[in-house]
Amino acid sequence: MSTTRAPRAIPAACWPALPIAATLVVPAVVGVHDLLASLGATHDPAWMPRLLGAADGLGPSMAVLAVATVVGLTGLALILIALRPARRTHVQTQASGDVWISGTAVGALAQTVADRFPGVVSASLARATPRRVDIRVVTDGDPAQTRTQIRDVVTAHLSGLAVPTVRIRTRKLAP
Amino acid sequence: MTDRLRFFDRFATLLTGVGLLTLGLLAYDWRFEVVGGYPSDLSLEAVRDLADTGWWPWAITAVTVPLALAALAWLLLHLRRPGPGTLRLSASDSTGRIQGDLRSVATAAAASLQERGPLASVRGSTRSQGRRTIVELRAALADGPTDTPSLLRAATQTAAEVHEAFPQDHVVCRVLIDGPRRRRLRGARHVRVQQ
Repeated sequence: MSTTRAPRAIPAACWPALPIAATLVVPAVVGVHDLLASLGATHDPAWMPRLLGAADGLGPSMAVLAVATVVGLTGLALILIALRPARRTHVQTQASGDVWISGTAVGALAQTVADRFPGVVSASLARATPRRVDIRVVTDGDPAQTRTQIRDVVTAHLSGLAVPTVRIRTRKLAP
Repeated sequence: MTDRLRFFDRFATLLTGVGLLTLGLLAYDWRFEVVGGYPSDLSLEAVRDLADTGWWPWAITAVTVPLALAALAWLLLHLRRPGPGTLRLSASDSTGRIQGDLRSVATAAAASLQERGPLASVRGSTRSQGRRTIVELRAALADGPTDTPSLLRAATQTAAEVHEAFPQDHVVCRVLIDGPRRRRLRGARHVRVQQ
Protein backbone atom coordinates (compact mmCIF):
# COMPACT_ATOMS: atom_id res chain seq x y z
CA MET A 1 0.00 0.00 0.00
CA SER A 2 1.06 3.58 -0.61
CA THR A 3 2.70 5.51 2.15
CA THR A 4 2.21 8.93 0.56
CA ARG A 5 -0.94 10.89 -0.09
CA ALA A 6 -2.52 10.78 -3.53
CA PRO A 7 -1.02 13.34 -5.92
CA ARG A 8 -3.35 16.26 -6.41
CA ALA A 9 -3.41 19.30 -8.65
CA ILE A 10 -3.08 22.81 -7.26
CA PRO A 11 -6.43 23.63 -5.60
CA ALA A 12 -8.63 26.03 -7.51
CA ALA A 13 -8.65 28.31 -4.45
CA CYS A 14 -4.97 29.11 -4.96
CA TRP A 15 -5.66 31.06 -8.15
CA PRO A 16 -7.99 33.76 -6.74
CA ALA A 17 -5.66 33.96 -3.74
CA LEU A 18 -3.05 35.65 -5.96
CA PRO A 19 -5.15 38.69 -6.95
CA ILE A 20 -6.53 38.85 -3.39
CA ALA A 21 -2.96 39.17 -2.11
CA ALA A 22 -2.17 41.77 -4.77
CA THR A 23 -5.26 43.79 -3.80
CA LEU A 24 -3.99 44.06 -0.23
CA VAL A 25 -1.12 46.18 -1.54
CA VAL A 26 -3.50 48.88 -2.83
CA PRO A 27 -4.44 50.38 0.58
CA ALA A 28 -0.73 50.73 1.38
CA VAL A 29 -0.15 52.62 -1.87
CA VAL A 30 -3.00 54.99 -0.96
CA GLY A 31 -1.74 55.33 2.62
CA VAL A 32 1.86 56.10 1.63
CA HIS A 33 0.73 58.54 -1.05
CA ASP A 34 -1.46 60.42 1.43
CA LEU A 35 1.37 60.47 3.97
CA LEU A 36 3.71 61.99 1.40
CA ALA A 37 0.99 64.50 0.47
CA SER A 38 0.55 65.49 4.12
CA LEU A 39 4.33 66.01 4.41
CA GLY A 40 4.35 68.16 1.27
CA ALA A 41 6.54 65.68 -0.59
CA THR A 42 4.12 65.60 -3.50
CA HIS A 43 1.95 68.25 -5.13
CA ASP A 44 -0.82 65.71 -5.72
CA PRO A 45 -3.62 66.08 -3.12
CA ALA A 46 -4.40 63.18 -0.80
CA TRP A 47 -6.57 60.45 -2.28
CA MET A 48 -8.43 59.22 0.79
CA PRO A 49 -10.49 62.40 1.36
CA ARG A 50 -11.52 62.33 -2.32
CA LEU A 51 -12.54 58.67 -2.11
CA LEU A 52 -14.52 59.31 1.08
CA GLY A 53 -16.14 62.34 -0.49
CA ALA A 54 -17.26 60.30 -3.48
CA ALA A 55 -18.81 57.65 -1.22
CA ASP A 56 -20.39 60.08 1.24
CA GLY A 57 -24.10 60.54 0.61
CA LEU A 58 -24.37 57.39 -1.49
CA GLY A 59 -27.81 55.82 -1.48
CA PRO A 60 -29.16 52.38 -2.41
CA SER A 61 -29.61 53.34 -6.05
CA MET A 62 -29.88 50.97 -8.97
CA ALA A 63 -26.21 51.55 -9.77
CA VAL A 64 -25.26 50.55 -6.22
CA LEU A 65 -27.46 47.46 -6.52
CA ALA A 66 -25.88 46.54 -9.82
CA VAL A 67 -22.41 46.75 -8.27
CA ALA A 68 -23.66 44.86 -5.21
CA THR A 69 -25.00 42.09 -7.47
CA VAL A 70 -21.63 41.67 -9.15
CA VAL A 71 -19.85 41.79 -5.78
CA GLY A 72 -22.25 39.26 -4.24
CA LEU A 73 -22.00 36.83 -7.15
CA THR A 74 -18.22 37.12 -7.10
CA GLY A 75 -18.30 36.34 -3.39
CA LEU A 76 -20.48 33.31 -3.99
CA ALA A 77 -18.16 32.08 -6.72
CA LEU A 78 -15.16 32.48 -4.43
CA ILE A 79 -16.90 30.49 -1.69
CA LEU A 80 -17.62 27.64 -4.10
CA ILE A 81 -14.05 27.74 -5.42
CA ALA A 82 -12.63 27.71 -1.91
CA LEU A 83 -14.66 24.64 -0.94
CA ARG A 84 -13.87 22.67 -4.09
CA PRO A 85 -11.47 19.79 -3.39
CA ALA A 86 -8.24 19.57 -5.35
CA ARG A 87 -8.41 17.26 -8.34
CA ARG A 88 -6.57 13.98 -8.08
CA THR A 89 -4.08 13.77 -10.92
CA HIS A 90 -3.04 10.13 -10.55
CA VAL A 91 -4.39 6.92 -9.03
CA GLN A 92 -2.35 4.21 -7.42
CA THR A 93 -1.50 1.16 -9.47
CA GLN A 94 -1.65 -2.35 -8.13
CA ALA A 95 2.13 -2.62 -8.17
CA SER A 96 3.86 -2.86 -4.82
CA GLY A 97 5.37 0.38 -3.66
CA ASP A 98 4.34 3.88 -4.44
CA VAL A 99 3.53 3.85 -8.17
CA TRP A 100 0.81 6.08 -9.56
CA ILE A 101 -0.54 6.61 -13.05
CA SER A 102 -2.43 9.45 -14.71
CA GLY A 103 -5.57 9.19 -16.81
CA THR A 104 -3.62 10.39 -19.85
CA ALA A 105 -1.16 7.53 -19.48
CA VAL A 106 -3.94 4.96 -19.08
CA GLY A 107 -5.65 6.37 -22.14
CA ALA A 108 -2.44 6.27 -24.17
CA LEU A 109 -1.83 2.63 -23.27
CA ALA A 110 -5.40 1.66 -24.14
CA GLN A 111 -5.52 3.60 -27.39
CA THR A 112 -2.27 2.08 -28.67
CA VAL A 113 -3.57 -1.44 -28.08
CA ALA A 114 -6.93 -0.72 -29.72
CA ASP A 115 -5.34 1.06 -32.66
CA ARG A 116 -3.14 -1.93 -33.48
CA PHE A 117 -5.89 -4.52 -33.20
CA PRO A 118 -6.53 -6.46 -36.44
CA GLY A 119 -9.42 -5.04 -38.39
CA VAL A 120 -9.27 -1.62 -36.74
CA VAL A 121 -9.08 1.31 -39.15
CA SER A 122 -8.77 3.97 -36.47
CA ALA A 123 -9.08 4.26 -32.72
CA SER A 124 -9.54 7.57 -30.94
CA LEU A 125 -9.77 8.34 -27.29
CA ALA A 126 -13.10 9.87 -26.25
CA ARG A 127 -12.33 9.96 -22.55
CA ALA A 128 -9.42 8.97 -20.38
CA THR A 129 -9.38 9.09 -16.61
CA PRO A 130 -7.55 6.69 -14.31
CA ARG A 131 -10.87 4.97 -13.62
CA ARG A 132 -12.48 5.01 -17.04
CA VAL A 133 -11.37 4.77 -20.62
CA ASP A 134 -13.71 5.36 -23.59
CA ILE A 135 -12.42 4.54 -27.03
CA ARG A 136 -14.14 5.05 -30.38
CA VAL A 137 -13.15 2.50 -32.97
CA VAL A 138 -13.79 2.36 -36.67
CA THR A 139 -13.50 -1.17 -38.00
CA ASP A 140 -13.93 -2.93 -41.29
CA GLY A 141 -15.05 -6.11 -39.49
CA ASP A 142 -18.04 -6.98 -37.36
CA PRO A 143 -18.51 -4.06 -34.92
CA ALA A 144 -20.05 -6.09 -32.08
CA GLN A 145 -17.43 -8.83 -32.20
CA THR A 146 -14.61 -6.33 -32.54
CA ARG A 147 -15.94 -4.36 -29.57
CA THR A 148 -15.91 -7.39 -27.32
CA GLN A 149 -12.47 -8.53 -28.43
CA ILE A 150 -10.88 -5.12 -28.10
CA ARG A 151 -12.38 -4.60 -24.67
CA ASP A 152 -10.95 -7.92 -23.48
CA VAL A 153 -7.51 -7.16 -24.93
CA VAL A 154 -7.40 -3.64 -23.53
CA THR A 155 -8.61 -4.77 -20.10
CA ALA A 156 -5.93 -7.46 -20.05
CA HIS A 157 -3.28 -4.97 -21.16
CA LEU A 158 -4.22 -2.56 -18.39
CA SER A 159 -4.22 -5.20 -15.66
CA GLY A 160 -1.97 -4.17 -12.83
CA LEU A 161 -2.95 -0.55 -13.18
CA ALA A 162 -5.93 1.07 -11.59
CA VAL A 163 -8.38 -1.42 -13.17
CA PRO A 164 -10.29 1.18 -15.13
CA THR A 165 -13.66 0.58 -16.71
CA VAL A 166 -13.10 0.13 -20.43
CA ARG A 167 -15.84 1.15 -22.86
CA ILE A 168 -15.42 0.57 -26.54
CA ARG A 169 -17.76 2.04 -29.12
CA THR A 170 -17.40 0.62 -32.59
CA ARG A 171 -18.78 1.51 -35.95
CA LYS A 172 -18.23 -0.05 -39.29
CA LEU A 173 -16.18 1.72 -41.87
CA ALA A 174 -18.47 3.24 -44.46
CA PRO A 175 -18.08 1.65 -47.91
CA MET B 1 3.39 24.33 -2.53
CA THR B 2 3.13 23.29 1.10
CA ASP B 3 -0.04 22.06 2.77
CA ARG B 4 0.01 25.11 5.01
CA LEU B 5 0.05 27.47 2.05
CA ARG B 6 -2.78 25.60 0.35
CA PHE B 7 -4.85 25.83 3.51
CA PHE B 8 -4.11 29.54 3.86
CA ASP B 9 -5.10 30.19 0.25
CA ARG B 10 -8.39 28.35 0.75
CA PHE B 11 -9.05 30.23 3.97
CA ALA B 12 -8.28 33.62 2.41
CA THR B 13 -10.43 32.87 -0.64
CA LEU B 14 -13.29 31.66 1.56
CA LEU B 15 -13.03 34.70 3.85
CA THR B 16 -12.99 37.08 0.88
CA GLY B 17 -15.95 35.28 -0.67
CA VAL B 18 -17.97 35.48 2.53
CA GLY B 19 -17.07 39.16 2.90
CA LEU B 20 -18.10 40.05 -0.64
CA LEU B 21 -21.31 38.05 -0.43
CA THR B 22 -22.16 39.78 2.85
CA LEU B 23 -21.55 43.19 1.29
CA GLY B 24 -23.79 42.33 -1.64
CA LEU B 25 -26.58 41.09 0.61
CA LEU B 26 -26.23 44.13 2.87
CA ALA B 27 -26.67 46.42 -0.12
CA TYR B 28 -29.88 44.61 -1.06
CA ASP B 29 -31.09 44.77 2.53
CA TRP B 30 -30.26 48.46 2.55
CA ARG B 31 -32.50 48.96 -0.46
CA PHE B 32 -35.40 46.68 0.48
CA GLU B 33 -34.98 46.72 4.32
CA VAL B 34 -35.85 43.05 4.70
CA VAL B 35 -33.91 42.41 7.92
CA GLY B 36 -32.94 45.76 9.46
CA GLY B 37 -33.45 49.47 9.18
CA TYR B 38 -30.80 51.71 7.64
CA PRO B 39 -30.35 55.43 7.03
CA SER B 40 -31.42 56.47 3.57
CA ASP B 41 -27.97 57.74 2.63
CA LEU B 42 -24.46 56.73 3.60
CA SER B 43 -22.96 59.27 6.01
CA LEU B 44 -19.18 59.34 6.25
CA GLU B 45 -18.91 62.71 7.94
CA ALA B 46 -17.21 61.33 11.05
CA VAL B 47 -14.68 59.42 8.95
CA ARG B 48 -13.99 62.45 6.77
CA ASP B 49 -13.33 64.52 9.90
CA LEU B 50 -10.83 61.90 11.03
CA ALA B 51 -9.19 61.88 7.59
CA ASP B 52 -8.56 65.62 7.95
CA THR B 53 -6.53 65.15 11.13
CA GLY B 54 -2.76 65.19 11.11
CA TRP B 55 -2.28 61.68 12.51
CA TRP B 56 -4.61 59.96 10.05
CA PRO B 57 -2.05 59.42 7.23
CA TRP B 58 0.45 58.04 9.76
CA ALA B 59 -2.07 55.66 11.27
CA ILE B 60 -3.26 54.43 7.86
CA THR B 61 0.33 53.91 6.71
CA ALA B 62 1.24 52.09 9.93
CA VAL B 63 -1.61 49.65 9.38
CA THR B 64 -1.55 49.17 5.61
CA VAL B 65 2.19 48.95 4.92
CA PRO B 66 2.81 45.88 7.13
CA LEU B 67 -0.31 44.33 5.60
CA ALA B 68 1.07 44.98 2.12
CA LEU B 69 4.44 43.48 3.05
CA ALA B 70 2.71 40.41 4.43
CA ALA B 71 0.68 40.16 1.21
CA LEU B 72 3.86 40.38 -0.88
CA ALA B 73 5.46 37.65 1.24
CA TRP B 74 2.33 35.56 0.73
CA LEU B 75 2.65 36.08 -3.06
CA LEU B 76 6.32 35.12 -3.05
CA LEU B 77 5.57 31.90 -1.19
CA HIS B 78 3.75 30.72 -4.32
CA LEU B 79 6.96 30.70 -6.31
CA ARG B 80 8.13 27.20 -6.98
CA ARG B 81 10.98 26.24 -4.71
CA PRO B 82 13.13 23.14 -4.93
CA GLY B 83 12.56 20.41 -2.39
CA PRO B 84 15.08 19.39 0.27
CA GLY B 85 18.58 18.89 -1.13
CA THR B 86 20.14 16.98 1.73
CA LEU B 87 18.95 14.71 4.49
CA ARG B 88 20.63 14.12 7.79
CA LEU B 89 20.79 10.35 8.09
CA SER B 90 19.87 8.41 11.20
CA ALA B 91 23.46 7.09 11.38
CA SER B 92 24.56 10.55 12.56
CA ASP B 93 25.48 10.83 16.20
CA SER B 94 27.42 13.03 18.57
CA THR B 95 30.70 12.04 16.92
CA GLY B 96 29.73 13.14 13.46
CA ARG B 97 27.03 14.02 11.00
CA ILE B 98 26.19 12.05 7.88
CA GLN B 99 24.12 13.69 5.17
CA GLY B 100 22.60 12.20 2.08
CA ASP B 101 22.50 14.20 -1.16
CA LEU B 102 18.87 13.72 -2.10
CA ARG B 103 18.99 15.52 -5.43
CA SER B 104 21.76 13.27 -6.69
CA VAL B 105 19.75 10.26 -5.58
CA ALA B 106 16.69 11.58 -7.41
CA THR B 107 18.70 12.20 -10.58
CA ALA B 108 20.32 8.77 -10.45
CA ALA B 109 16.99 7.05 -9.77
CA ALA B 110 15.42 8.88 -12.71
CA ALA B 111 18.22 7.75 -15.02
CA SER B 112 17.90 4.20 -13.76
CA LEU B 113 14.13 4.12 -14.32
CA GLN B 114 14.42 5.56 -17.82
CA GLU B 115 16.97 2.92 -18.71
CA ARG B 116 14.78 0.11 -17.44
CA GLY B 117 11.36 1.12 -18.58
CA PRO B 118 9.66 1.96 -21.88
CA LEU B 119 9.73 5.65 -21.03
CA ALA B 120 10.47 8.77 -23.05
CA SER B 121 11.74 10.82 -20.14
CA VAL B 122 12.01 10.68 -16.38
CA ARG B 123 12.61 13.65 -14.07
CA GLY B 124 13.65 13.28 -10.46
CA SER B 125 12.89 15.78 -7.69
CA THR B 126 12.49 15.88 -3.94
CA ARG B 127 9.78 17.18 -1.67
CA SER B 128 8.70 16.99 1.94
CA GLN B 129 5.38 15.64 3.14
CA GLY B 130 5.10 16.00 6.87
CA ARG B 131 8.02 14.16 8.44
CA ARG B 132 8.64 12.18 5.28
CA THR B 133 11.01 13.03 2.50
CA ILE B 134 9.81 12.00 -0.94
CA VAL B 135 12.02 11.28 -3.91
CA GLU B 136 9.57 11.80 -6.75
CA LEU B 137 10.17 10.39 -10.21
CA ARG B 138 7.96 11.84 -12.91
CA ALA B 139 7.95 9.55 -15.97
CA ALA B 140 6.46 10.17 -19.40
CA LEU B 141 5.45 7.19 -21.50
CA ALA B 142 7.16 6.68 -24.82
CA ASP B 143 5.08 6.75 -27.96
CA GLY B 144 4.13 3.37 -29.28
CA PRO B 145 3.16 0.09 -27.63
CA THR B 146 4.13 -0.33 -23.99
CA ASP B 147 4.26 -3.56 -22.06
CA THR B 148 2.43 -2.72 -18.84
CA PRO B 149 3.98 -5.44 -16.62
CA SER B 150 7.53 -4.39 -17.56
CA LEU B 151 6.62 -0.76 -16.95
CA LEU B 152 5.32 -1.51 -13.48
CA ARG B 153 8.26 -3.82 -12.76
CA ALA B 154 10.75 -1.08 -13.66
CA ALA B 155 8.95 1.44 -11.46
CA THR B 156 8.73 -0.96 -8.52
CA GLN B 157 12.40 -1.99 -8.75
CA THR B 158 13.59 1.60 -8.90
CA ALA B 159 11.44 2.61 -5.93
CA ALA B 160 12.72 -0.39 -3.96
CA GLU B 161 16.35 0.57 -4.69
CA VAL B 162 15.80 4.06 -3.33
CA HIS B 163 14.12 2.64 -0.25
CA GLU B 164 17.04 0.25 0.31
CA ALA B 165 19.45 3.18 0.16
CA PHE B 166 17.71 4.75 3.16
CA PRO B 167 16.55 1.82 5.28
CA GLN B 168 16.10 3.68 8.53
CA ASP B 169 15.23 7.13 7.34
CA HIS B 170 11.85 8.48 6.39
CA VAL B 171 12.51 8.48 2.66
CA VAL B 172 9.93 7.24 0.20
CA CYS B 173 10.28 6.95 -3.57
CA ARG B 174 7.13 7.79 -5.48
CA VAL B 175 6.79 7.15 -9.21
CA LEU B 176 4.24 9.13 -11.19
CA ILE B 177 3.56 7.85 -14.70
CA ASP B 178 2.20 10.42 -17.14
CA GLY B 179 1.10 10.14 -20.74
CA PRO B 180 3.38 10.75 -23.71
CA ARG B 181 4.50 14.35 -24.14
CA ARG B 182 3.09 16.44 -27.02
CA ARG B 183 0.78 13.75 -28.22
CA ARG B 184 -2.80 14.37 -29.28
CA LEU B 185 -4.84 11.55 -27.81
CA ARG B 186 -8.30 12.90 -28.52
CA GLY B 187 -9.27 12.28 -32.12
CA ALA B 188 -7.02 10.43 -34.51
CA ARG B 189 -5.53 12.69 -37.14
CA HIS B 190 -4.90 9.92 -39.59
CA VAL B 191 -6.74 6.89 -40.79
CA ARG B 192 -4.89 3.68 -41.43
CA VAL B 193 -6.39 1.71 -44.27
CA GLN B 194 -5.83 -2.00 -44.25
CA GLN B 195 -6.08 -3.99 -47.40
